Amino acid sequence: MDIIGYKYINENDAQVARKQCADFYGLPKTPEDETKYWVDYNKADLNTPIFWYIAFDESIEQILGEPTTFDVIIEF
Amino acid sequence: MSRNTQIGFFQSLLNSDPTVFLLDEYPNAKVAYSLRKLSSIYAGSCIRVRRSSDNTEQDIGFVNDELDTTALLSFVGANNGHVTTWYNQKGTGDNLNNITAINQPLIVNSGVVEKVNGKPAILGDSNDLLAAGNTTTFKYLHDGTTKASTVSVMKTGANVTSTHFYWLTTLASSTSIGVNNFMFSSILRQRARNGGAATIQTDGSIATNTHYTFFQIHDVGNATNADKLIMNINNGLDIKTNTSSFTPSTANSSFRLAVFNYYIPSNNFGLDGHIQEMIFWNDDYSADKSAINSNINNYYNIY
Repeated sequence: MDIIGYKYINENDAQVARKQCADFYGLPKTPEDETKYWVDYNKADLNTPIFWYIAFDESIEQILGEPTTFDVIIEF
Repeated sequence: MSRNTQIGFFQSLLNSDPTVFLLDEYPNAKVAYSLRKLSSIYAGSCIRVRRSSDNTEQDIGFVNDELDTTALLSFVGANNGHVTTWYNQKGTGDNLNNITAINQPLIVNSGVVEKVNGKPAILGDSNDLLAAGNTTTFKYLHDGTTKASTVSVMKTGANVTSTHFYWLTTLASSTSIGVNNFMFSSILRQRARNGGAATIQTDGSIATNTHYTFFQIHDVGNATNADKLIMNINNGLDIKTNTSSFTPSTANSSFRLAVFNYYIPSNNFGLDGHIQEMIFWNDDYSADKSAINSNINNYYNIY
């Protein structure tokens, strides 16, 4: 299925992007809070080669920039 | 009226009394999530909420055995309130939660508590997800040795063509395994699968924007195919449409429970609708189905 978002070829880059978004929104607010991140990344483990991605949301466009569209294989 | 009939009559009244806590009457639950109190023993909070104005979080408890909406609105104000944690009223951990802000479902929308039939309800937006359980909590649902019961109270939204309701998942793989419930083509499919094409499934017809209680039996090891997965909708006739003899592997034990979605959020396939209550028993309560449904309906006024 087509996903609009941000694609990363290694997990570390996805983690960096996740932290950028969390820092932008001041998360976590306190160490005791449940909420640690603003967005999280997913692993496209059925794709070859595998990759990591963050799905698009308007709230992160100003942080991560213009999204792209890519295919993610998901088994239902 | 004979003595036995009288006893049965009064027991039925007791069981359908909404002031009787469901977990007191039917105690062998693995997990129990609700916006009403389900147990006289449970003394913890109902949910934990993040308010959109500054991302501060606060636990919200019960008043008169229901979600304390006064405290909730006092905390959230005119903003949105998102559920970060839905506490398991068994008090054994296994709380439903999500550590990612953008995928947390809604309980307060612009200062108004989300409700269905006047009772608080949690709203998913198709990209939301709450997950619970360690790697063995839900093994009983698919190990082929336990006849398990679940009940859930929810209201469908505008989309019943491609959404996920709840799903046992590793949360690390997109392979479809475990016991799950999803909606397509106006059907709720109760399914068990190990990945690949092999599956057992029971299908019940559903409609958009409709309030439901689903009572389900998961008995995947049953020798009779039709009895492997049984669905009951709004206390109607039992639905037994499975014809497959497939038995899910007992080796797949590393499942967590995902609610409102498949294993990943942000995929636009999450539940478009509200959830008010979900109880997973590792026991066979099929003989108590009507009494459990009555307790639920007397409170939620579903049908």
